[in-house]
Amino acid sequence: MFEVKNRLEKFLISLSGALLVVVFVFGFKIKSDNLEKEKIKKESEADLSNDITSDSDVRKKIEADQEAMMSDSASEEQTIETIAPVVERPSTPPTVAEIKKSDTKTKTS
Amino acid sequence: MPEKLIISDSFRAMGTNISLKIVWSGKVNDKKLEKIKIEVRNTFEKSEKIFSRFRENSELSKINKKLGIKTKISSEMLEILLLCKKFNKISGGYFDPRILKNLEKIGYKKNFKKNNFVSSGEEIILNKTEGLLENDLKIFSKEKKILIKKEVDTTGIVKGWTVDLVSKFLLKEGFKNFIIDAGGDMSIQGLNGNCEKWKIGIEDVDDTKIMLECSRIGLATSGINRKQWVVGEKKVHHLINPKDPNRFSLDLKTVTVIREKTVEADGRAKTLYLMGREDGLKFANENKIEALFLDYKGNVYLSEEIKQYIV
Repeated sequence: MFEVKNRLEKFLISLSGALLVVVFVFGFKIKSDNLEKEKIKKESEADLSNDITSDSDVRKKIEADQEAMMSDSASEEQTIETIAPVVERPSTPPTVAEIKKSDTKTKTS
Repeated sequence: MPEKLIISDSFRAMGTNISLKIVWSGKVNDKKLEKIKIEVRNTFEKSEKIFSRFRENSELSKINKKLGIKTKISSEMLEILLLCKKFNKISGGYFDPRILKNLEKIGYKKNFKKNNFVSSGEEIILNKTEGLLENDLKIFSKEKKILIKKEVDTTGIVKGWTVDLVSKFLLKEGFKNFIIDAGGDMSIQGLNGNCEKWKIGIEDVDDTKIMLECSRIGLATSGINRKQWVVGEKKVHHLINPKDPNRFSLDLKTVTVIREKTVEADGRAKTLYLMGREDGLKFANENKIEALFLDYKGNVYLSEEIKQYIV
């Protein structure tokens, strides 16, 4: 049977075992993080696919909305409601200021 | 409607500018028109021959040389002297033809336009006109004779009287719309070229402020804005107050009066000027005289009777 002969050997075997444990733990942790990242990425891509991503797209969307509203409005039947009867006033010629001018002036001699 | 024509003429007579403006519609007879113009000029010339105190051979100059002598006079002179007496009476003595000596003392011996009245540097004291006019001017109407004790000056009303003669003549000749103006003594008849009453502005006052709108009236203006000169240290003018001859009123610029006849307006305008603004306005209102007073500050004062003519 294999027999540990001295203290140094014992120490080295213990250290190797500890390192093995650490490597095992870290290896598991890394794998777990990668799985998490992959999951987040997949979710983000799904959200962004439903959104508008540029200014030109925004303008196009607004214009499209306006056209839709206008065409709806044009198709509606228009009604005129009389609020107050309109009194038609006779047209009056523009007033011209009369120039006051005498035929002659008084004087003394 | 026939086109309206303005026929005008102007000339100089009696020491002033005479202008005639006739509104006429229809055919113009050039010969008749020329005759009318000549007749108007002759009327003024005739008056000047009788009443000028600057012509030695005028009737006025002749009778002023016959003091104390009963003298035959013309119908025209008789009419004017009777008017002088009338104005003297109704004005309470403010209008007085006996101011001639005082006029000559302050240098007004010659035609004003042709002469510059230069001060001699000496102070002159003028004499108050004493006694009643009828004591110095006796008129025998039926005989057409007078007896005067003091020299008289009729020029105060002769221009207005002559304007009335011309007006009467034009009306008789068929003219209905005209103005005859002898240095401010006017006869205003009918309508102007726009078929409206004649509009008369006041000298030195803007037309937009005040005008007189009238027809079939006589209008006369008396004032000192054209006849002023200096004697000694004193500024004098031709409108001498017979009651206080050494005090020359300088606050009023002109007084304009409207009456049916120009001569009636003429005599009253002089009277009101001599009375001054306050007394004159009071007198005008009491006697229902159409009068407008203009002072040197540009203020205009109206009697009640003249307000109907204001536009």
